[in-house]
Amino acid sequence: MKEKLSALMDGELATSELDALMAEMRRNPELIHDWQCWHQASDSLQEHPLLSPQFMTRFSARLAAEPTVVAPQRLKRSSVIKKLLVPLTAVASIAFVGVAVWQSNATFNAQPAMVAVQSVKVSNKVPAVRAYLAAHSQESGNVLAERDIVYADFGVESVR
Amino acid sequence: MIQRTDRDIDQELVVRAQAGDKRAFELLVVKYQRRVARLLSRLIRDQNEIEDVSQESFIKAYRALPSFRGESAFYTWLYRIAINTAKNHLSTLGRRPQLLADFEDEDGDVLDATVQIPDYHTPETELSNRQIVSTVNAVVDELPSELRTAITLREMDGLSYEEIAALMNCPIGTVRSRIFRAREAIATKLRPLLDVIGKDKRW
Repeated sequence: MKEKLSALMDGELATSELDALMAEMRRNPELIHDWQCWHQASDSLQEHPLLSPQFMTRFSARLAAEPTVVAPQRLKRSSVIKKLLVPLTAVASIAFVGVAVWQSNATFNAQPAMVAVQSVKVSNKVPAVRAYLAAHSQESGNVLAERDIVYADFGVESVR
Repeated sequence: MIQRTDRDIDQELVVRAQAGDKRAFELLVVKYQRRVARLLSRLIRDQNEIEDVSQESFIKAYRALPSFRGESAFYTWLYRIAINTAKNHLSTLGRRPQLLADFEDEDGDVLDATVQIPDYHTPETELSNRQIVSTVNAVVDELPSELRTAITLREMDGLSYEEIAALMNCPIGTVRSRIFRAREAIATKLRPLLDVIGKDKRW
């Protein structure tokens, strides 16, 4: 967990890991001390002026007295999402074109299959098959299909 | 892999602070307190005043969080608040702020001018600061070379893990681990000193 805190300090922690880390910070105050100490060391290396040791104690006391700000969603947490959106949009576009091309090819290739369908229609002359198909047409919600059922030759009653 | 930046992490913390998590805002204050103080030291000479104005700036920033929508980086927004707070402070005292133009570019954006500002220590803090700086530098000098190189490239040169990994010819995970171990080594020596200087147990 401390290594993740270190990564957070460097802006290198995955956003998805931040909530768990923040929750751990509430349970383990030692992580807060690490955050403070590491920043102190970092600022020393970068020669930033060092404030009095009481600075954060004073500030935390003042902040605790402040009414809690609750303004969710004012800032879109979208900077990473926006970055993801561009490649995702590109991939989606390519995928769409790919599917469109594939479908047009599939339609073209499907032409010989129409012959096979017509050969099935020939077999509809068998009464049992006609009744079976009529029943399934009804199930599919085809209103017109009911007319077929009324006038169909129900050679096999049990099918209904 | 998407490259995250300091700005992304800041915005994630701001989102949490806007949702009522004061701890998230405190993390940002720890991160930026000395940079804000360095900025203010260009306008205000007295160390106590710098600390007071820094405190006031962060409180104002907290109150103004609902208005922050992320059009600029958090630190840019924060620096602007700090400068305005300093101007108001000096105005109240009947003094004129100086050098403000140094902090804004042609678009009016506040620059991270802290890196150009010379150190400013008061006699009260000078000794302890010198101890802290010398302790940190001494530990860094004693680190194993792979840890020293990693932490130096990160802290002094501001390189990303990916860039450090390329330079050191190792995986990013190794860079992350080396930087963490370097920080732990520094903190081990620094904590006792901070305890003696500050007796500041909360932070």
